[in-house]
Amino acid sequence: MTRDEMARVLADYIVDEIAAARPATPPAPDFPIIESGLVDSLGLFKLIAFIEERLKVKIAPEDIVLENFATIGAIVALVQKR
Amino acid sequence: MIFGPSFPKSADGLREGFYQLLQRGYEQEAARGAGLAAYRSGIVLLGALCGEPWAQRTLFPREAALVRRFVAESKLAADPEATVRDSLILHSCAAIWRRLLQQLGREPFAEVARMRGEEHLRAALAAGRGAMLVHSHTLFASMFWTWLEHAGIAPGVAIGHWAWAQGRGDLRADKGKWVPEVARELHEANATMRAGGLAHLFGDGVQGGRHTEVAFCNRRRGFRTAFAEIALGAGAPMLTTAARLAPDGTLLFEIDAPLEDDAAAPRAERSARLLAQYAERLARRWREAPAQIPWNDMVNHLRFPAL
Repeated sequence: MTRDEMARVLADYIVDEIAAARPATPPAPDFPIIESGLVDSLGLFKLIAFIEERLKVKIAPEDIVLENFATIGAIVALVQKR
Repeated sequence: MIFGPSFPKSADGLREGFYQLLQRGYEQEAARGAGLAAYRSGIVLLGALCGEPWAQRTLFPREAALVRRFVAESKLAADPEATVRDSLILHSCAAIWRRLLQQLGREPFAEVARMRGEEHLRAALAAGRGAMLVHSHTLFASMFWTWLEHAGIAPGVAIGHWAWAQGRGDLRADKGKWVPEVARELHEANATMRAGGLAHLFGDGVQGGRHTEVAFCNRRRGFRTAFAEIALGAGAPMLTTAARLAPDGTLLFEIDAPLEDDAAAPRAERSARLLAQYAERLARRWREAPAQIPWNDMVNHLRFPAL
């Protein structure tokens, strides 16, 4: 899966399964998904579970910090490092 | 110890003096090796004092008014004056007694603590599916962890512990810290339950942005379904709990039968049904023992829209 494809899969999941109110457009790779309130703590937990299941990547507890989940771009970078 | 003691805050010098005298008395008794005896006898003094109208007027005027308003507006059908007296007694003694009870050894603790429904927890652990313990905010809820310790049961993960340990009320506004930290706790709770362990969550916590509204004690109140969603994801049963201090100083714990779940229903429907059951059980606890509810939770409840 390319970076763009992965970003699209994550954006679609956030829009369909996590966002309390459906945004007009999917979040861009550099959109602050946590600071904006689009993804809350339960949403981030679900997103991590989705990443582990769909992308077959294990997220360690110490990886769950803002730096790695602030934007979809940051998440893609984390996944590619694993 | 997971949760520590705290005194009700007051700018009132008279009341601060009252608390200090009370604490000093207990500490002197404890130093003489009379900890449990002091614990048992102290309630007599407190009961006499807190039942006195003059003490309510001088030491606790705002709190007594709050409890009366809470009982009336929540339609709890409790005796308002008995609830005021018991609420004042419990709030006055809670911090000291929690600390004293936490320091007791297994046998003295067993003398003052009673557990009903332990079989539900043991059955869940024996089945190897873990369990989500859904607690509620009462003055002695934190003593549940002391009971677990004496029962030889690994406490597991307490969701919300990180926020509590920070001791800052404005923490939720800092999403960059709050969201990843709580998500990490949820992640660890999920892994712990999948491994057959325990997770804990207070189901009546801060309402938050995403919540489900239910009719609750004459208010339209939001609750979060997080406990249900995490437990369903881990395939763990959900057990509601209660902890209260009886007038004779006995600490009463309860673990209820698992919340009923229909695995064939859609996930959102399952969460909503589980939440409704939790709210129903919590409302029953409130009706049975309103004096166990912390004053700040009474204030929060009264802020919700009336039905």
